[in-house]
Amino acid sequence: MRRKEKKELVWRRLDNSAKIFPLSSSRKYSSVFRISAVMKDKVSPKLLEKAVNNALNKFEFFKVRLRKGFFWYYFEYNDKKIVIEEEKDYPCKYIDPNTNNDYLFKVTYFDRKINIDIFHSLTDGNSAVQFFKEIVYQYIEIEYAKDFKNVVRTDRKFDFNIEDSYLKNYNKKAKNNSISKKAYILKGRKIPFEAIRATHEIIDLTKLKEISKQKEVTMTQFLTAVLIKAIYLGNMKDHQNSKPIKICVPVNLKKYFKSKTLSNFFSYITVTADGKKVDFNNLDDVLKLVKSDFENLLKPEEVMKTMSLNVKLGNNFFIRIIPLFMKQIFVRLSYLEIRKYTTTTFSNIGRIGIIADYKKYIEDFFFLIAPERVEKIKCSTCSYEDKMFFTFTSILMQTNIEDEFKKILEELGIHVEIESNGV
Amino acid sequence: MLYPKLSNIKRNNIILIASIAVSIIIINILLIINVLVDKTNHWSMLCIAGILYVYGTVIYTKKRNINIASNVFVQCLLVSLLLLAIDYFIGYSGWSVNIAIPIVIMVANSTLMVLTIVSRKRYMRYALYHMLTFLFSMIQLILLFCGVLENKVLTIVASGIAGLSLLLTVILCGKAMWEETKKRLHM
Repeated sequence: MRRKEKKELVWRRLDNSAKIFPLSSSRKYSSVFRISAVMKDKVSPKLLEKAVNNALNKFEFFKVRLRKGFFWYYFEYNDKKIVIEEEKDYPCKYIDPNTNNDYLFKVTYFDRKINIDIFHSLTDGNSAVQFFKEIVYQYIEIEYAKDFKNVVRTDRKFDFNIEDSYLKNYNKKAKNNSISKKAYILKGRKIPFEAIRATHEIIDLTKLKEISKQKEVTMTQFLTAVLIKAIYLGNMKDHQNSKPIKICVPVNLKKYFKSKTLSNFFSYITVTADGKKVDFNNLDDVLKLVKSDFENLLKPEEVMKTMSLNVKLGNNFFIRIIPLFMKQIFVRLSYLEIRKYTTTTFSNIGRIGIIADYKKYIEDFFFLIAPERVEKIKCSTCSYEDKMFFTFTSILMQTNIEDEFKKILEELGIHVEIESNGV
Repeated sequence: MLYPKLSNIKRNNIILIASIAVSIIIINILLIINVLVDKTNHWSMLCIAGILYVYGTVIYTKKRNINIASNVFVQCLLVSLLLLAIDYFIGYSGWSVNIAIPIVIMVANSTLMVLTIVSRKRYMRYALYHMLTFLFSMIQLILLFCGVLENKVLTIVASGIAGLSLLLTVILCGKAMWEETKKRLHM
């Protein structure tokens, strides 16, 4: 890392997306996501701690704590010891800095599983995967030292920086002319004691690819359509409602703008399925709508517009000069309203590529995002080898949406296995 | 098995909630006894001020138990408020602002001065609280110029120590203070 970047590690500003998370987050709205790796053997906590420390030496970017300034939060270098604990809470829970030596991520383990819970302010899913992969590689190299005695890891060079790619790439002249309607909000009784249910639907990737190809859509488009139908059948059908189902799909901007930043650099599109325009019972009809929405909203000019509007808001002089405690009040109040514009979020971090020599030690990967009071169910997916891991994180008692999702896939001949945290 | 078996994790701090409930009951009992027995002396308010001070200290210490300078500043603030409250409720004679608070300021600034000398490398963490303690100390000087205070000597000495402490810090750790200011006030 260059000297200038090393100096920036002492303290640095939050990127444009990162600014919003500490302002809006609370115990009930954690803004935390999790990546898990299921190993072939039981995880040793001591070796895991060593692996995390080694990974942190390579990714010093993550060695920070969040501090309050007068106008904004900022990151400050954190030299405290990393805390590795056995998993004893529900996934994606609020990370209390007081219990975690101020780190913005938490590494836990359970039996054969390694988890990393990350506060979204620190980084996005894409960079988190790189960091987590490094932890897993380090762990494998320490645990099976004999096998890696003479092996020098030939990882595809992961070149990175810590720039704020939003500021570098946004268009100052972008204007908003879209009007948005409120979305259908999922109904149902909540699970008590602030518990979170995680349901992993492990999908046969080969068959999923085949069916998606048949339907002439991408896998993300296909799963989004299945999700919309599942929401309709599992929740909306019983509660007559004219509002559209809106799925928020995060978009990795690093691909669009060739950015190498470890900071957040993502935007989102919102797929809108209005019952007046589409027959929710007909998957092909939903697929057609989803495909068209994806194609329109993922046009570079549209992506640029959404991203630029968010950056302009964060950079507005009058917003910048508001003291932090007032920003927090405004953001929390406005979030009560903003959240009503999305039914759920579906995030796909794509394929997790692992070097061949390391694959035999890893069984599965999971990716989870935190649900909250309005978006009571959130969906996330990643793929590894020949499996696609689609995860529902939910605070709803009923499992109708999860069940309908599985049913729809199985009706199409796609094999699905279920794993859950038993809530 | 992918996840541990968890059952009904209660997140609320039962001890804190119980102690708050007990304190509220005690406060009410004290108020009732005070009103029934002796309406002229507000002795129950002294107890309430004490209870609030303890809560302020416990809650803050529980949150941030590492940065000594922040504890010095918070204690300086809380003790001063407690002293002011005691003075007020026993019929305000001004001993709090004339004598007690200047002494608190002297102790706080002297402590920070010692901290600066012995831990210059870690001063970056203390800088903000040192500046806040200095600003708090200056309130006494403002009161002096406004003619509120009777005993000028202690306030002048306290403000002098505060100024000296800050000057020493600027000389020893001026760069750190500047960096801290830049960080805290970045827009």
